Amino acid sequence: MSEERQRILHLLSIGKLTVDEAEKLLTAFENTSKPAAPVSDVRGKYLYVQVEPKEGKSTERVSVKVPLALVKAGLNISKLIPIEAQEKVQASMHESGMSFDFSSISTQNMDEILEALEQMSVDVDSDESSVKVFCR
Amino acid sequence: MLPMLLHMKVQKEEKSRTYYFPLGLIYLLFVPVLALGAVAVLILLAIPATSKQTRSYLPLVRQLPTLLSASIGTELAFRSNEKEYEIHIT
Repeated sequence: MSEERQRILHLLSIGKLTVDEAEKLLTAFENTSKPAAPVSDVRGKYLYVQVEPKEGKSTERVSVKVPLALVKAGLNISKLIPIEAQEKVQASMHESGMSFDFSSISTQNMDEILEALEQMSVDVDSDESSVKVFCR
Repeated sequence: MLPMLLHMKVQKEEKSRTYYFPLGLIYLLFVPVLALGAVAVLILLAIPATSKQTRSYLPLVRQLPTLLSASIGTELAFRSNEKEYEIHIT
């Protein structure tokens, strides 16, 4: 049994804490002492965006290769934006028709986003070109 | 580790040119700007009216090197029959 847990139980036994208070403290302690969820390793993985023209159409090809670590760093940074700045960004994004809530980005959500990105493959075919977005 | 080299290739018809930008030197150019910025931040932190707001932006500034170092490996390429542009960050 950890020292903190023993102290909480001791305070409960001598009546300095109520059962409810002790329960809250134990729950809070358990939450803070939990090991962090395993973070998906994004090293060496890249997000690719490729635009290839159809035959006989435009000859322009675009290829973008972005490290997933950069996406992760971007998501991490978005959590650190001060609340007043977040509100301004959210308001202007909402005006542009994109509703986005910064508070919805949590560590767990971020891992889920990265995991989803790793498995994602998007193919868009039009008359002019084909667009591929994938991770490798 | 921060990205140290930006490699850019430009090809127009037959002519091909490759440029290497040593980012280490560009960071050195930014040192005076960073020094001035640090002084400005210290002044803002000392003023009670702006201290809280300034402090809220500090974690963001501290994360910028991480963002920069994560950009290592980024590649952008634009190709057509007449021209070709490539940018690599290493």
